[in-house]
Amino acid sequence: MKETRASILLFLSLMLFIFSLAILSFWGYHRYFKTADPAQSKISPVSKPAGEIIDPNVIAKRDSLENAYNETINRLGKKIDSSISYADSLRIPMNAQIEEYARLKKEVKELLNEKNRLQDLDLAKAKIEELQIKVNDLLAKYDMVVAENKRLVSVITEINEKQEADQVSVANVPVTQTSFDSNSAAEPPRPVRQSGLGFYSAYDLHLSAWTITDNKELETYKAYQADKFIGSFIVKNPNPPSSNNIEMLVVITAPDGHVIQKSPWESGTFETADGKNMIYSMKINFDYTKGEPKKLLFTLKADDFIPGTYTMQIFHNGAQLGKTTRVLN
Amino acid sequence: MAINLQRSMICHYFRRNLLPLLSLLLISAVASAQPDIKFKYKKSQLYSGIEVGSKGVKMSLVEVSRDNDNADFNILKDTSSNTDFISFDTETFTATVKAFAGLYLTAKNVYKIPSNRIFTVVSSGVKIQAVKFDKNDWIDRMIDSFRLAVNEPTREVDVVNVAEEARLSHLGIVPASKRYNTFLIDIGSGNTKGGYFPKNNTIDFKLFQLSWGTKSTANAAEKRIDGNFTLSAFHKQLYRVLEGSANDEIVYAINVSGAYNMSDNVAFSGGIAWSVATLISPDLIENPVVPVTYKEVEKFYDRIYKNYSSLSGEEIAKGLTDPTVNKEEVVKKVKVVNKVFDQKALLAGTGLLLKVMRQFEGIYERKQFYLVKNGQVGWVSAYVDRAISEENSNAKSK
Repeated sequence: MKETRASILLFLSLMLFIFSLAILSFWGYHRYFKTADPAQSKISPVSKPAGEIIDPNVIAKRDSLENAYNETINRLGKKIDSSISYADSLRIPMNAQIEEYARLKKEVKELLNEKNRLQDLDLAKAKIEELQIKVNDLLAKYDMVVAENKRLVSVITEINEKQEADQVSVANVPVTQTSFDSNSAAEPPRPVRQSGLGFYSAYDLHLSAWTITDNKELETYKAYQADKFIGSFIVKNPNPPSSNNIEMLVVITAPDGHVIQKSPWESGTFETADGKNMIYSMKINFDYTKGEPKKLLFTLKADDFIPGTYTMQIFHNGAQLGKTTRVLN
Repeated sequence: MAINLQRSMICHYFRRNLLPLLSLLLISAVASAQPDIKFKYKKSQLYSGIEVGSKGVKMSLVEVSRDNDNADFNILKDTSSNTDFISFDTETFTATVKAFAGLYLTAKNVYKIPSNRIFTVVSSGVKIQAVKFDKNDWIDRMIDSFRLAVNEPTREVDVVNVAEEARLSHLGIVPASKRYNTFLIDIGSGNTKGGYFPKNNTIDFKLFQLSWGTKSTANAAEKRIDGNFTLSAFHKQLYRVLEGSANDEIVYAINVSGAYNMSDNVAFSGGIAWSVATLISPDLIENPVVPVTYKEVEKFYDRIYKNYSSLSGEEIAKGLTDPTVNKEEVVKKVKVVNKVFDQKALLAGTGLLLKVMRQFEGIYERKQFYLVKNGQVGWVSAYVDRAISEENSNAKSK
């Protein structure tokens, strides 16, 4: 009888021991996961449902976002390194944009972490869209830098050939130069030479869309928000002609192929170096005498901005000096 | 006695000629709604200008879009009736009043334009001829008959003089931002007139006039031809006319005007400006103004003479570079130009245009040249400006 009572007590104490072990394990597990992500617990006091992590929709969305992310960064690929070296040689400030790109890339990567939730993936999607715009900008700049580099090489070649072949100096009349079309796979055309010395080159071309809200101007990448374009470029001629008044033509082409005109009194047509007629958006007249880099700015309003790629081209005496693009979503 | 006679004449005329016309217009107005008008601007108002000119009565329906200090206008409809008022006989008088009243009632009843947005004027050409032949009372009678016909006894009908017409055209055509540095020259068929604002106000206007126009230049060249009516003979004689007496007058008039030193821009209006602008820049077919260079017009002059067939609607449409330009519209508008100006008239007008442009083509300072397509309704725009200013001041006083 005594043995039976002792066995019952022993059984009960064993059960209590097992039960306390179970409670301790649960407490330890709970404490571990609660302290593992304190920031998240502060933002969202409601515990994360386990089912959401393994939701097949979330996984599918994450996969598609990862694909979009990889595709976006692969578009840039190794071009970034060469862009930095070209830009450095041309003194074009690209570092800030590349840093911005790297920061964004890191943020997206963190957001695509497996533990993250649907809300994080939505944020990741927005960041990927922003990343795509940055990549487009960098690619446009890369094209411009490559084109500028090729153009300068062709100018140097031309000058060397000229010096070798002909030592006789000619009259001081402006000379224009055709630039390499960055989107074309063809070789850059040889410079268009009229007579005399003096080459105009245009570089550091920028085109950005702006929205005006509450009397404040903000840069935008959305077509429906855009009210105007602000563009800028730098022109240089080491040996300027005798005439002070220089004229540059700006051509901004919309995604549908039409040239945006500033106004009927500001826009017109001109003949390109290869004999084609072209509409220009506006003229920029300026005085140039010293042979130093001169930054030119312009504003261009439009009634409607449609999504797509806008192209900005700079012409002087019918020859294209530079080209860049701006994508609006 | 004379007044009574005049009144009875007007009443008789009204009963006999205008009552049927009015009935017709009333029926048409009731029966039909406003015709389908294709507006160019998103926010605009419809105005009409009716002008009694030397050749006839002209009505323009103009869409005006206002953005701050700029007013853009687009001609929606342009119609005219040749009545030859300056013959000053009963038949042309009746025809003129009938056309004047008919067009006014069309604008008001058919196009539903309120009467305060319909402007009615008598041009300087009519005034000059009336003074010359001592027929000023014919203008007064014509205006009275018109007022009676449209049943608006207090309707304003301005009789403008040359300087006022040129001033109004300048105000209406040239945007405010270019007002004080632009010389506007209207090359007409029989003469050329224009001017600029020399003192940074819109009251003082420096008038410029030439006795040469597109038609008179062509006529002078034709007169010199002795039996040989070929194009090359015309071209040769045209050169002599432009280098001779026309050149002397142009050089003198431009020097006296002082416009070279006071202007950065030179804008040309009139028929020849419209035709050259249409043919030289078909990509800008929708634009009311086309900027050009002296070299472009010079090249175009050679093209008229040596390759006129390239100026047909179809040929011009082939050379369009902008994919968004409406080719059919280009062909249509070029055909209108070809109909109005034949090869010789185009050569004469462009030659005269070049002669004037040459005076502004300096070695060190170049002017910006513009060709204005819708110069004929420039005055309407000036009247619109005035009407809006009056509306604003009335609103403020209330």
